[in-house]
Amino acid sequence: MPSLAAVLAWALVLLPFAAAAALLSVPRPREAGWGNLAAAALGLLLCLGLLAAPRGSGALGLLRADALALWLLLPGSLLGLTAALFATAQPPPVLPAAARGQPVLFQLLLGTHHLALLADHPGLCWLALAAAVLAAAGAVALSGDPAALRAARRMAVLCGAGLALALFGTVLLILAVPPEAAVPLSWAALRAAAPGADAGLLNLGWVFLLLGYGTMAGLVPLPGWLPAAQAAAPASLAPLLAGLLPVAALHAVLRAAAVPAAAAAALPPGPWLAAFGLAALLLAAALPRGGDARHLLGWAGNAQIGLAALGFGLGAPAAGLVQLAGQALLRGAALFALGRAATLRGDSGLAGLVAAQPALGWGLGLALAGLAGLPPFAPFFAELGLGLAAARVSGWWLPFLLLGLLAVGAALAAAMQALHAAPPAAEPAFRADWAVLGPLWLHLALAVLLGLAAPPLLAEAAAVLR
Amino acid sequence: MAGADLLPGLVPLLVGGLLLCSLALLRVARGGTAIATLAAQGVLLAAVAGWRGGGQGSAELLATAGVLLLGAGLLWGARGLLAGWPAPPERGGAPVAGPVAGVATVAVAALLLLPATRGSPAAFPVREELSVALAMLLLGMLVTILRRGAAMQVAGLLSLGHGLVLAALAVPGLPLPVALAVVLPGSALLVALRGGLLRHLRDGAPDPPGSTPH
Repeated sequence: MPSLAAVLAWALVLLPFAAAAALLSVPRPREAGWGNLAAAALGLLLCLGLLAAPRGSGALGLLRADALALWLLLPGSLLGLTAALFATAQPPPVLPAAARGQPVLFQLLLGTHHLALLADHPGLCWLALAAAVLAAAGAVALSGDPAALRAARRMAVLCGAGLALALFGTVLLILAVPPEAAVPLSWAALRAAAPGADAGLLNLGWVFLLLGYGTMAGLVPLPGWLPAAQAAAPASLAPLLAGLLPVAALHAVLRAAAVPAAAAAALPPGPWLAAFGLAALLLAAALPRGGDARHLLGWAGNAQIGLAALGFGLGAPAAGLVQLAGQALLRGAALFALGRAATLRGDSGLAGLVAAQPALGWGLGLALAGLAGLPPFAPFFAELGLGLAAARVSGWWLPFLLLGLLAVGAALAAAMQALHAAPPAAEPAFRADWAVLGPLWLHLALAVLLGLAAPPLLAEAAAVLR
Repeated sequence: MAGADLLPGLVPLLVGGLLLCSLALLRVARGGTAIATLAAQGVLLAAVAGWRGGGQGSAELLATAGVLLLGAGLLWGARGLLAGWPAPPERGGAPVAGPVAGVATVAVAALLLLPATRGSPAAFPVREELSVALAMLLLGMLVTILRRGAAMQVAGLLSLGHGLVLAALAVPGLPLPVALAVVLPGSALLVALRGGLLRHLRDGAPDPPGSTPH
């Protein structure tokens, strides 16, 4: 008899795939949008049920619903619901095939994200992320215009290379441990068998995994695909693309890092992760951004993921987890506002958005402020914890961390200034409806709450990483 | 293991053929030839999996060989789609740059993996194959970087996928899902090619007016 947690976990994983199959047969975009919303709402309920269910060690056969997976699943499921609500307010794509494909890809992105977070088998985790990349590339290419197709191609090639490196690293990690020690195969079994493993293969496997999944998370050395893909994706899918795939990929990095970390003879993975995170932050801060506000937000998102990786690498898992959840909420909020503004204003960009539509403009401004690391949003508190951890480990991390934070903050501040400029004279009046403002302000409120009150699950999730 | 005892040098020979196919992709002149090379690589890989599966009595490896043969058949069938599609040369540099980089890549793979696998009882018997798998993976990346055009980038990715399957053969439970993960997206890309999607992607620019889609 399977446990309640196992039933809920499998239901949470299978629901989006079933919904995607069902939505394929719904011809009218409006009905498909409401079906999408209903499936996302049910997914969030299942996630809350899983959180409430007794879970013990979290092991559920091929899946594992431990505190770390649940901590990352919650914002992902919430983002699924709010993005589905936001999508109902957006005009459907012009091409009929794209209109029909949009809710299907939406659910596939959610399903692969849930599976990647819950998978305890390294191969299943890899397959989920591979499917996520395919769904995400399809989402980016959905509009069919040349820039979107180029971004999708770039994403498929770079993430394909990342996936290849990650799978090779997985094979090396498995071969490093004694064959009988990791049966049945799982991240937990690999971690348990790590003390008796071959250190050379563990080190090599870890480097490949970091390079591979790190590329998908937006870390160095190949972070540029994410801002381009995020800018090219339809407004309804961009929040999912930004909020789900990098988090699921970084989660895979963390699961992999636990294996060499458990072997005394292997190199400690923390400094590697911290160095990659800091490099991602500095690269996001230094590169010329060009393009539109969604490009800027993409690079800012890469910086956020870099900061989270830095936190995990420096031994401050709680700061990293708060950073990950906070940035997912704030990026979602900013992309809701940007997507709606782009739909209603065309090429006007951010200029004068506060005067033209105060609720939307101020919401976007606050989301950008949160991403820039200003209080009272969660990233501020996470970055405070990060700074303390950096000072504790070695003072040398601090100047680079501050430099990166200041540069990213300055770029976002410039965008916030544009919000307060005079609006274009000929702009027609418009209203952003509740389906946009509701998700936007809910994300902002939760990002504040997350910074001010640490839920008990955070301590449990951080303990998984220690 | 009787088969393996009869022909102990067969698997290394097949694995060497896999590596040659990856190296050839750096220089082939036409998209159709690239796809035919990939199909040949798929057949060689299926032979490695099938030989191993027969020797070990592993149904999973035999099923993997079947999936790989199916993939190779699909690739062979798709040759016509790309027959007239010239594979653009390497990005800049001399014509020997690609092969030289390819040989250097193989050397790097061997230098990285052969010492590292020395201490692992599980990895030691397949250490040469793992080195070739890593070389194929890196060569696939090199093809996507050095060759221009969507067709050659897809070819590079598929060749890289074959390297992954070769690596996965060493771990029970992995080969079949990985082979499916390589063959299914490969088939999807072929459908995309037939649907004309990659026509828009070719060389990152739209087709000139009046050009014929392949």
